[in-house]
Amino acid sequence: MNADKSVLQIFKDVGMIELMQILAVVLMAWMIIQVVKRFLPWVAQVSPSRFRFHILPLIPILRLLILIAAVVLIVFILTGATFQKIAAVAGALAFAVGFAFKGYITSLAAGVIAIYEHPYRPGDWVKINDAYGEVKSVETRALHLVTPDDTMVTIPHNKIWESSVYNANDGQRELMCVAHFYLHPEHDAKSVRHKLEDVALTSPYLQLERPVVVVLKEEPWGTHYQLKAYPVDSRDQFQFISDLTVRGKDALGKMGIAPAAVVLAAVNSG
Amino acid sequence: MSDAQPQPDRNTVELWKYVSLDQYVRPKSPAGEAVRKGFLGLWDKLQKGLTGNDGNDGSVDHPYVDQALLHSVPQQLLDDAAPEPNWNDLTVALDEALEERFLNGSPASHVQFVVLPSCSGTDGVLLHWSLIKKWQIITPPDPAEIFHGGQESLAPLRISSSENFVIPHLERWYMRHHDGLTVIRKLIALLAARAPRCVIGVNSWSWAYLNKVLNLGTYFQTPLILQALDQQRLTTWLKGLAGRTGRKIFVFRQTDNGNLVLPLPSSLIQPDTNESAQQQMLEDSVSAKTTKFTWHLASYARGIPLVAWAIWRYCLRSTQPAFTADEDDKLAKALRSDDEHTVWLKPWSATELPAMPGKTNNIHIFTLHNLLLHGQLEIEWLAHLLPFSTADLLTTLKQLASLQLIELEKGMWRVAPLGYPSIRNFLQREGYLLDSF
Repeated sequence: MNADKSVLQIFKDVGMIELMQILAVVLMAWMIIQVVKRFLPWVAQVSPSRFRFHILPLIPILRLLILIAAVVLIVFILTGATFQKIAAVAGALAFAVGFAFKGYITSLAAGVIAIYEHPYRPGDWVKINDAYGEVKSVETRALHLVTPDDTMVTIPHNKIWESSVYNANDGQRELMCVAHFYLHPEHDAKSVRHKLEDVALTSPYLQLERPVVVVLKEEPWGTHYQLKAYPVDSRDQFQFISDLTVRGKDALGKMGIAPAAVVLAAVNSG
Repeated sequence: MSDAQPQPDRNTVELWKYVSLDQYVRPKSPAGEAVRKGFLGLWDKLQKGLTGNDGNDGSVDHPYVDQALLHSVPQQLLDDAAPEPNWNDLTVALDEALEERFLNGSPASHVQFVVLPSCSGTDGVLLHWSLIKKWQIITPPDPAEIFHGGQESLAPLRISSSENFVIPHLERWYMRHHDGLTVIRKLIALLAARAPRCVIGVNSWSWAYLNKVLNLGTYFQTPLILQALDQQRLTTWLKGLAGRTGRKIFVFRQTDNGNLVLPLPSSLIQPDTNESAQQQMLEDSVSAKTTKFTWHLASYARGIPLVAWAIWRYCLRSTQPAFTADEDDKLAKALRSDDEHTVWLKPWSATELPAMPGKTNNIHIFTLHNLLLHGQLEIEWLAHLLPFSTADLLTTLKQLASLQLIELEKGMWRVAPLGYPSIRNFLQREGYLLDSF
């Protein structure tokens, strides 16, 4: 009860000057956050690509720091900066906010850990639960993904407590793409392997600094080829896979290699 | 073209030198340039973004020459101030380097590669050398033949087993297409197995690509390459070019402070003084305060001769206005009696060179990368290599040509020397495979 009284006393003592100061702090914090939100993405855009992944994650960190600084300043203004007053306000706030926004606070805590541990960064391609897409932004409470279907998905950071995070490129610009080819088992596998390598090596999307690998596996219905390679830009992954598929089919067709009759088999068995 | 043996000239031999690839040294940028590019470059962009001002206007607050008085140099004067280089001068240097390689090399040295930096302008040197040495020139297959195995083009290599030969453009023996690598694989296998000597020219971007795709570098001796022009040699070269026609004397000065960009020509040294005084004046003129323009130029052009020459010509300004073709002739006559000309250049930081458009996408990247890989391409073949329609490609090519980044000659699109540094920097930013030069 004494603590409640002290808190009330603190707020009763707040005059017009303090209110103006608080308003100024809030306004200043908001303005700095807006500048950070606009300026850093622009800096990332005009900077060399290799710096993009380092600059963009700074945005939520800076926002958090600005918010904390603003809150501390406001507390100082309210309490006159005595320890007893700060402790009283902090205790009361923690009590109230802790119950009211338990989930939100958990997400904020997870967000701080996410910023520190880098399970995902803007520009990464991640899969969390059923959502797969490019991380567009990492906010204090949640991250925003854009799926290949151009749908924005907001995922609270506290999902990292309970779900696995699959990160396809982990801060790198490139990620591995796989094009699948299902062929009739009667063919010269060595020639097909070399031809599929050439298909990847001549793709304009290919990152030539990374390896091209062709793996194959015999299945009951035929031979399954996987052509694995990296595009220069992870944002081109679907165009890259399409390019490999289109040109792979063309090359294999010219070699007279028939696709596996898997569709027919599936229809017959169904 | 002369059939005589190349006669060594002391100056040209010192100016041009072919070195092993691992001894190639790219000219360094002035120390301040890196800082300027990093911080001031960012500031320029910010200023441009906020105000629409390019940020350069204020850099020359009190110019030595009023900018309004400066014009493009009249064509006649330009061709005297920076005439087209005569690349045959390089043949001597190439001959020396190849002789040394063939005499002292390892058993694998019968095949020698000469890497040509893109837009270096030196493609014809190997051809000139082969004509002088009377070595057989193997012409590349046309693109359609590449897709059908290239048997006709490979035939001379199979038949003449003892004759030395030259392949001037290896980049024209393949296409970046899944059916476009067969011929070059056969060619490399033939080269590795044959005894006679051969010299193969390849552009630097193709060398980088073929090294990744065919591991070319592991089969053959380290290639030769023309050493990059550093500031000192670029200055000597440009000064020599300006005096080559002998018709006029040019003094190159910077617009902001009037300082010399190139040392004074030796012909301006007073002839009535004694020999030691003349020598002293010559040394003084060389060591006279010259600006850092050629240092910046050598670095920006990556020491590539034709790129540096194209940018040099682009930057020259005159107080004489440019005229139409007819008027230009009249001006040329009028100027005939006037032997000494001052040509002006803006300071490097205020120089505006062709740049990539603000908005780019994959069509720009792939088009430029393929033009650099293959040296030159017809639009028909570009459309065959890339997943874009001919109409889209044509729009892009015309856009890039309007920005002076690429050019069309005899139906072939290629990267313009003037735009090469911008394009290379752009592809580097985008993370694409680059040459090493």
